[in-house]
Amino acid sequence: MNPSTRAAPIFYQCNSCAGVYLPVQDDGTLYFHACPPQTANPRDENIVQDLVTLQVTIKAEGGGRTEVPGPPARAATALPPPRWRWTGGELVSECPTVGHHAKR
Amino acid sequence: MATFKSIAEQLSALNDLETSGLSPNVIQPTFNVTNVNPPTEVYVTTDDVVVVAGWNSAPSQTLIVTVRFLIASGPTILGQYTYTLPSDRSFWTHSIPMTNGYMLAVTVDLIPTGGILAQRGQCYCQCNIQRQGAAPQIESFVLFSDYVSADLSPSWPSYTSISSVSGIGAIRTISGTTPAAGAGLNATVPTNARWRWHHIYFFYQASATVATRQVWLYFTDQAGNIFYYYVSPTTQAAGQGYNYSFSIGLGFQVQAASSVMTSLPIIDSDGGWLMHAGANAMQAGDQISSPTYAVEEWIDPGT
Repeated sequence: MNPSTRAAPIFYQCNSCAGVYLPVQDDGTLYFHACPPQTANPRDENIVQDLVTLQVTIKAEGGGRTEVPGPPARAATALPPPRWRWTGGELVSECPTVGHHAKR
Repeated sequence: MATFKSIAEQLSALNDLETSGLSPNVIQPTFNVTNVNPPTEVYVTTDDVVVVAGWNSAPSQTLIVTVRFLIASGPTILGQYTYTLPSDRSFWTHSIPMTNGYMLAVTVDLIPTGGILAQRGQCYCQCNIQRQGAAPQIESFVLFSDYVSADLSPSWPSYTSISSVSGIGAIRTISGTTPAAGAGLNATVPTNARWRWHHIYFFYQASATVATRQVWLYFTDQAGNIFYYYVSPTTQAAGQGYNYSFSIGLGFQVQAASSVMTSLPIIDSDGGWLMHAGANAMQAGDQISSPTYAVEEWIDPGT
């Protein structure tokens, strides 16, 4: 699918554990949320199937779920800034404290 | 040294012999046109059905079953049947009624309707002949059992019958549940699936509360029994954010700046089995985010 025409993903927040998840993954496969151990009134969306009627239901409804815009924003300091930059001729320090690091 | 002639040259030479009347023993082949033996051993009647069944996780897939059949009165007929498959790995089954005659071939093809091509490991298909009316239906003739995917269409009589957890599986990534602040990470293998964990990634942001965090990760079976437990030798102080990567193939843990790369043994988990990650001294404001798993996946019925 063309990314420019892809619909915005729909996230859900579990009312039992407050986890946020994408029920349909980027590749279209289904995701089945299950609460962590020790969660009160846990939700488990994994399926169970009646062997005779083949009807499918989820294992446990728990406290239900609520549609949300997305997971909490990730910290901006996820990756450290580079300390050195290669200019083609020499390594240039980008450390805020000039001269803090010795050149190798 | 023998010299070889082309087929055209040999036919021409034979023709010359015949027309000259000097033909020695040219044997003309003949073909039976009556009482011809059937090409297969599989004779079915109106009491039989072809049953196509399986499990599927690939989205937007249509299964096409093609049956070639020699009916008792002589002609060969071809039937095609189309089924839309569920993608939640639930069991599905479809029956195709038969008439009196010989089965010549059965083939299943998987056609994507949404642009996603199915990999091996996503749609496992069983095809057999069952006698109607018997309960339970144990009187069956297995035609084939194999994955059907964008690059493989199992068929009979050139059949394969293999287990669903054999061979290579589907390679896929999963965006997991981002837990609430202060809560651990949790991933459960879906019903009727088997996962081999290749890589596990998440980002752990420690809050400003002073404590020495130590990330752990463990796996359990469906009953909750822990069979693998890992504790990172790296500790995290207040305010620090670390990337954690667990990968098959790494020999030992390495750390570079705020990234921790750790080895992961080969762990196969069935449906309902659990991966859980958190930290010692985890604080209420600590946040695990961007959980992403790369797994190899098979259909594993009954888990």
